[in-house]
Amino acid sequence: MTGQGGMGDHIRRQQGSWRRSSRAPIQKKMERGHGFSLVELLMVAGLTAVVLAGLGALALVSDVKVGRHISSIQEAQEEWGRAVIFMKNEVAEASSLSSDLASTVYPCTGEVPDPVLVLKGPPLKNPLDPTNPTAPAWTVFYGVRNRASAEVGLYRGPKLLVRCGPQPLAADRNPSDLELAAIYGHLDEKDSPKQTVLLDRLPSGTPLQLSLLADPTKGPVYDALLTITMQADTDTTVGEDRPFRVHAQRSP
Amino acid sequence: MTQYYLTHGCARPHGSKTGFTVVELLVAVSIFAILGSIGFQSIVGFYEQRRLRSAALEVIGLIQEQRAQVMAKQLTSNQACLSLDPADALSPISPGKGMVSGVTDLEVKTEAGVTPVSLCFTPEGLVLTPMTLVLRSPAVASQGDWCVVVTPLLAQPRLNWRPSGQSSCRPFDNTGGTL
Repeated sequence: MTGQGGMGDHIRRQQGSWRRSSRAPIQKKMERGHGFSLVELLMVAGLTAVVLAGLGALALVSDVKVGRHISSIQEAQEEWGRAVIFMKNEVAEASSLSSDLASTVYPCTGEVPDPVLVLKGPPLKNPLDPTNPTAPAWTVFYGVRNRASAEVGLYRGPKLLVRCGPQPLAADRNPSDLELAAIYGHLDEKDSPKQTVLLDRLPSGTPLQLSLLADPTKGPVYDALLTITMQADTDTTVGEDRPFRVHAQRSP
Repeated sequence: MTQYYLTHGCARPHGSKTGFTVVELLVAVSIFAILGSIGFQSIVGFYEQRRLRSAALEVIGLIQEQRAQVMAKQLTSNQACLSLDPADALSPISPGKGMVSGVTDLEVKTEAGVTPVSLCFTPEGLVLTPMTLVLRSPAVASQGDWCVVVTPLLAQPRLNWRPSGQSSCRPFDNTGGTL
């Protein structure tokens, strides 16, 4: 009996030991009457601080990336819109459009744009003195060319939308300039043609699609449909699905 | 029990019955003070840099506003120009105007270092020659300067960055390609 009782006590003690050992360390501490030591509390606080700081840093980086992405798209949309309005205004002052350089010398230096839209301005009569010679016709070119190696860092993207032609009149217009403006429109014909980059971030491929809306063999062309595509970000393009129509004035 | 909490795990000599010594506390406080001062300087620099960037964004807003005014009122000559001179009380970026006032000793120059900066528009809202404005704060000049680049003809202002020691402002490249 004693032996059996001893064995039973042993088994009960063993089971109690297993139950105690399977309890959580925190519970064991509480049973022992101990709290947490200062070092343990500091370690927990430190680890919590590190985890929170990491999460905060991740959130900040994500926020900055999203903000940069949005501002990049907004900037591209605004630039695209300004370029379209500028082109439409200038085309509205032209008397004909073409997409052929065959009969026209490209007056600016560097690579000749391809494709190209050629605007020819009307030789307006001088409204202030109709007996005097008429104003000369003007020509402006719009087109896409590759970014030169010297322009790396200055402009973004592989291709650029450029304008070649006489510059607009300066801001400090005096009466004679205003008189000239009345004759020539807004262009300064006394200035030599210059090339200006209107848009960068144009992707490779066909960022400018151009179709004339009349048969050039049957007379002057007044309308064209243009599509300009900008690469706003790695995965976002602007203007690709927004073709716009430009309309030149018809001869009276 | 107190002795156990203070000495447990702190590499105290065996048999020691004291807590932390004054020297240990001073060393710890000194280390915390040094780390804190470095962190404080970084935070101050970060916020000054953010203020300088905000100033550049405000200047972009001023340029857009001036362009809209010139186009709406068909302004010419000096009326069509925007003067950006912090030292000029009439300039919109002077401290008395409340604009970009958060930046300490703000400097606004052209990329070539010319001051004061004047940006003129045609009545059509165009800018004939490109212009780059550089905004600098002496407190964070060692990091770099923010730039506002105004593109020719379209007069589109862009926010660029010029790292310290570089001579020209460069655009950010979000396209993933090489600039």
